[in-house]
Amino acid sequence: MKQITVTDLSFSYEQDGKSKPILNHINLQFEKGQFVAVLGHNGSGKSTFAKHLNAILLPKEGTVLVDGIDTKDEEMTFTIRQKVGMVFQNPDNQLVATVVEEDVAFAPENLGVPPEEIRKRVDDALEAVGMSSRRLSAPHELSGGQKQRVAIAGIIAMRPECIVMDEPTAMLDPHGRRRVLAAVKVLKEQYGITVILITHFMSEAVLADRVVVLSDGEVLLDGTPRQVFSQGKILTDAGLELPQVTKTAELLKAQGVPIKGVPLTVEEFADAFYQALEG
Amino acid sequence: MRASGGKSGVTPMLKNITIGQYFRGDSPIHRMDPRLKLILVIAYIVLLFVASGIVGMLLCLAAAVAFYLIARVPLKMIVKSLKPIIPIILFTAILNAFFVEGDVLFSWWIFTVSKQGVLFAIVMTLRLIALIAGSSLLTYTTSPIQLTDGLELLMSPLKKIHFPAHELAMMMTIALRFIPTLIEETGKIMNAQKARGADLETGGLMQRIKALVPILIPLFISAFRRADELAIAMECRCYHGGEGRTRMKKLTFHLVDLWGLLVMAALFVGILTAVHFIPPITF
Repeated sequence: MKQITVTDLSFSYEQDGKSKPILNHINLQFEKGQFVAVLGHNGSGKSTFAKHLNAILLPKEGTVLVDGIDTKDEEMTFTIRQKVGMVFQNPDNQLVATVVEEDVAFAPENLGVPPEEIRKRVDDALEAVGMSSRRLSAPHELSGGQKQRVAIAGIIAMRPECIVMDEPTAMLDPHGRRRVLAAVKVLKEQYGITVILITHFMSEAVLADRVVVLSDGEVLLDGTPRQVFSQGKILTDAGLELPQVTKTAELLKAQGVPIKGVPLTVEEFADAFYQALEG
Repeated sequence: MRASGGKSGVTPMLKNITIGQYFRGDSPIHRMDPRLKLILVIAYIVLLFVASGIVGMLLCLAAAVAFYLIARVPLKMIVKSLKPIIPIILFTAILNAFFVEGDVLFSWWIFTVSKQGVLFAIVMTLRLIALIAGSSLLTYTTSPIQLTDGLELLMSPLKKIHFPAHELAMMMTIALRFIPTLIEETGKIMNAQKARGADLETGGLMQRIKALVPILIPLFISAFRRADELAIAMECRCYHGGEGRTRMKKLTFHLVDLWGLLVMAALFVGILTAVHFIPPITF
């Protein structure tokens, strides 16, 4: 089932009287329950694209439909924002309240959900991201990764159908990054929420069901991680790197080691390398 | 000003300013509704000004001490909260002692101290002490979030005359939320500027004030960027003002609130009667 349909989306910023194109005729569709990674280097328009998915920005040209609702429909803005939650890069700048559980309650409170139901949702959301034990802490007492998980819980409590994450791990240390990605997995598996992860970490894109590569405001590649990462040349030209193991395999292949396929994880690489040595 | 920033140097300071005010606890006073607590504090302040004389003030102060004991907040916290306003207390006391006219106790050059002046100075001092002790107890026993909730609800009838009660409470919450973040950031910027050779510790007053500019400018720019991002994040979470908003924690009055109300009423009647019947202390 199509959840988000982006048709011929174009967007540009006005700068010094000139219009600076950011997005250029983008056509994409996102299926319900899919985990999609959107890759792109800085300035590829990936953040601008993300902000179109929940009516924070409105298209200059083309349309974005969420469950068939046009994001330009002003009366439906809050319905769309409830359906498509958004998590940003800096965890500090998205927490509103002085207590973790109050912050998680913020969105359902805005939506006018009855108090008992909010309580249930908050406990549930904090449980899902593994932050129940810190529910009475103040945000400044938490680490970056913990804050980001609270931010995710704050979105889960809204009961969205889709979560768009704009580089949620960019400011975190490796440990925080792992815990946040684990929370993302829960979203997908337990809640069946569609996840659109904007990132420039190849290792995160590998986890997705589908990878979309944006470059200069256009869709460059779109497919499964394996399909996308076998296009090493195109990715490098767009200023993106291959995942570490994939790159190592490519380099070995160039040296004449007969590695088959495109390994995306360390395990896959180990198997392929072992087979290459055996054969 | 000591310029050493960083987490270790800055965070304790902040704990003293805002969030550290609150003593987590489970006393009857902690459990009281913040709205009622706010009203009772106002009532207590009114009582301080209605009751007169040293006897009245001493009784009020005794009541405050009793409340601290009930709330299990250490009494030394009274002293701590008084520290910053000692100059004001002294100033008021001395001014009153010298300028209230009456039976001359002694005089020297152009200064005269009257008996009434001394008595009035003592009453004023006690009144200020009781005022600070009483109102501090509110922040010691009420978490910032409860306090803002209480204020918002108390002020909500004023919405009819377009008073932005919800917006004010929201601003308070966000301020409380971001004070620690910004203080931490100040420390980071100070360190960054020191690493670039900024001298924050020597020189005269003007020089030091000038040295603050390269700290304040990045701090302001960052604060504006934060505000922008926070606004977008709030919009993403469907924030659209106070209209149609519900709350996870509903404030409700309990039996303990009734007791609070009764105790304060008893205090009012008791102290006012006592002041009326006990002869004022003179010398």
